[in-house]
Amino acid sequence: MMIFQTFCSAVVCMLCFVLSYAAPRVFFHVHFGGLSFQLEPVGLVFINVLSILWFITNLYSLGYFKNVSKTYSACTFASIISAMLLALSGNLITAFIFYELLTIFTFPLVKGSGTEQESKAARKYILILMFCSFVLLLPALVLVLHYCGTLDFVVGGVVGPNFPSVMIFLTFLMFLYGCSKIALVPVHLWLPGAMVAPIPVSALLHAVAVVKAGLFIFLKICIYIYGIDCLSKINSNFNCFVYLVGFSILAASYTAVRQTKLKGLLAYSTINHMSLCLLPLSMFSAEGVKAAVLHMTTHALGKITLFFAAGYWEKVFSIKSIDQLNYGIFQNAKSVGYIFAIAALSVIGIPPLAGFISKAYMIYSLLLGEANYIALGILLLSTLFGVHYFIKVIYRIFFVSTAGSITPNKAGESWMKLAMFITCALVIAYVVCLPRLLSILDSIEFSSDQ
Amino acid sequence: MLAACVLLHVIAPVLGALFNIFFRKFGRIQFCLTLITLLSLVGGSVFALFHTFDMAEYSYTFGGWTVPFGIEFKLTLWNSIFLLLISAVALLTFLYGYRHLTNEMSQFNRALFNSLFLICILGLYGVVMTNDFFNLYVFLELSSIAVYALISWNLRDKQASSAAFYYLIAGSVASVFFLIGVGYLYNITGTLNITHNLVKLKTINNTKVVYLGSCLIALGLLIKSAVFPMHGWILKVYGHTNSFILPFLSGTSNKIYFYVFVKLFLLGFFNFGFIHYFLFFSAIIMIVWFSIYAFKEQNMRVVLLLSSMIQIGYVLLLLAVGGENLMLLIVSILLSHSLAAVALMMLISNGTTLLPYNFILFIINALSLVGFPATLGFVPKLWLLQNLFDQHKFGLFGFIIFTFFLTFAYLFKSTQTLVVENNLNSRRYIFSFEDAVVMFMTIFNIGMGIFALNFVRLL
Repeated sequence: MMIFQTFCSAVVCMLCFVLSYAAPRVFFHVHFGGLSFQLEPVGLVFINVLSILWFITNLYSLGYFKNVSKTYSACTFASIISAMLLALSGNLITAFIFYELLTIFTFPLVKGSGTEQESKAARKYILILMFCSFVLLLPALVLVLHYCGTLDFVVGGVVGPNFPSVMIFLTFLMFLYGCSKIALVPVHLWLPGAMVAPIPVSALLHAVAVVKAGLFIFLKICIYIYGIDCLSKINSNFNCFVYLVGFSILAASYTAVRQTKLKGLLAYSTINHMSLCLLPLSMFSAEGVKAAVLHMTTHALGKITLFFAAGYWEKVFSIKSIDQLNYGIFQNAKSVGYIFAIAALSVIGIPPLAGFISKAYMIYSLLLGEANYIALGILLLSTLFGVHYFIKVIYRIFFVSTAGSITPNKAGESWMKLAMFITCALVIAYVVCLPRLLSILDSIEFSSDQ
Repeated sequence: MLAACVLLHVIAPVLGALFNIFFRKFGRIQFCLTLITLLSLVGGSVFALFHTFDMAEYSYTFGGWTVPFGIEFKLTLWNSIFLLLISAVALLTFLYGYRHLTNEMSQFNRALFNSLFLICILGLYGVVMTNDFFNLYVFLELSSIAVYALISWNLRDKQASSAAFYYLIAGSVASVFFLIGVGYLYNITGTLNITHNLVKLKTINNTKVVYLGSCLIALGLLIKSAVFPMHGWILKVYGHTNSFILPFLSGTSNKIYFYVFVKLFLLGFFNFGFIHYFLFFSAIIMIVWFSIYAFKEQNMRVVLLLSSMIQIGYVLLLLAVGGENLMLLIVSILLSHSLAAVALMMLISNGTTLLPYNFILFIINALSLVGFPATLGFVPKLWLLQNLFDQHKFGLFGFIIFTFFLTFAYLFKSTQTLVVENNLNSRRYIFSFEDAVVMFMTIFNIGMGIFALNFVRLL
């Protein structure tokens, strides 16, 4: 089943490459009754990220797992397909369907073998996500339908003069917290709990697919339901969005600093960076949207590499806590240590790695037009926190001496290392695909006048 | 043709029941006979639905006796939909459960069981189609008597007979109330025809008798529908019903009586001041109390019955609040719930062990009950919310949203318990005919759910 999935993912990956080079000629919008499918720039970028990382995770899984259960394979496959169909959704109803299906299909993956800890984490996962969907996302959807009469993704948005400003603001907040997969504080609690799942699941789904799906649907709502111009007008007097996102960034950063478990640190770092993706979006400008999408891609690459490295240490050396890391671990697997360090530096935003490019673009979007120095301050503070919690780990790997003997279990390490090499190479060589990525993002239509 | 259709709906079950007795020694002939009868009923319902789709109404009077002297049967769009519901659920229940019935009963007993089943269907058909109060009572009693016997027939549960007796008492009380109410109205208006009654009531000043008659009719129907506070019988009775008939009853019986109540309500029969308050408070209590009760309940069968009553609570709320396209909303809520609930009842009945592949069917149908998008349960819930928002009932809007999450919570909890009990690690890869029946229902659910997405905006 894993071989079949790896083959499928390779085919999809190649198809996505072809689509990205043929863009914008391949963009489409089709309707099947109530369902609607659309390929547009943001969706194309998201589907590319998913397909590449799905393929690489399958390679990693070939080494990580001895035997893969059919439930695991089926649910992973179904989750990725749901995420891809979400990327291709042409209206909010279709997006909502696949967004919820993603929750359902990822639930068995979090539950795993059904130990008490896993069951508890899975219950928390599904109850928080479903609560936010039912109580916030669904009513927001109903309100948009009531005032706009349609849920189609339309260039420039569907919001018209019938939609009172107060309701626009209210529904915007409902969408922000309803899309709880973005893991904005305080609806983030499902993410640290979901880290009980095996590393390939945590890496692909909870660091890439699930959280990026939440971000993606929110981006589509901002661009094609409300329209950037409308949101800009609504928030022109007082932009509370910056403060809400800023609070989430700082809270997640602070909690990440206090983490002792490696997976917990990576989880809170994910929460931090997902909120960071929303920070340029709070400018409600075209550049802000592009910065958010860029950061989505760079974070996905960096974070998955970190998870792969953490998974390698967990499997080979049974390392779960940061305190267990030491120079001896590094000596036994130097390449993994270097890969972790490179990915960590990328996530922090050190040039010339991928993370630096997206952060630089973010700063550019924050300074464009009416510069928001508060947002800039939050970004810089978050980066400092990031330096603190990642340098802590890097320091232990390179400089803390060995305590006791180590008996590694290196079964399947070649596949894991291959996957890590590929993602690390992408982090380093991100600048090569940047022009193509920017040209795709330049073709996003923000207004019907364009 | 429609006349023939109406007659078919009445005659086919009678003949089917009769010939089942004649061929009581031939098991295969019984099966074929019942199957043909049910298929003809489904065909007739589909035919009636096509002809009434554009809101056309067809009236058939028996023996050529014109109203108000004769008995009138009406085929309207909503009637046709419920006729299709009854016949389709009956057919699917029959196909799903017949093998277990064969294992549990002798040929002779099976013949009697099939006959009673067809008589029950006849009774429900008559309840839906008739436009005559007394005729309604007759068919109500006909179906009830058949149901009493069907419920008591459970070899695995010794309490089935006492459950049937309990239902006999509750059902008889309901029928008597209904009949007395009809009597009061007949005394005042001089007619038993429902439409003529309505016309006459508009000109009558004797409000106390009308008030009393209407209250008693409503009471009788609400007892049969298991509306709070007259709901006590349903869990005791359906909890001990045999697993062949339970999917059928949970999908049709009390929903049909409730439909009759809704029909009379929307026609304007229960036009007295306090009814809206009664319906409103009943609805709130049903939704809240039964959700909490379902959350604490371990037995999946009871949870499904409670969810059925919660849907009736939503409908009561709609009746209390009012709004446009009420009948469409109500019918869509009841139908979508019926389809999913029947499939779930089938999966957990007959002592069936839930195995991995039919657990997936269970999950899909449970999600339909929750109102998961792309299932049949989603669009009615969306319409309900839109209706409440259009009426500016913002508090109720928020309350209903929260109850949707509660539905998910209790179904999730019950499903977890079911998974632990069934130990889904066991493997069996023999795909049976019964699984095909449930799979058909599930695929239909998803197909209709996706089709319904064309109409997300409430008309």
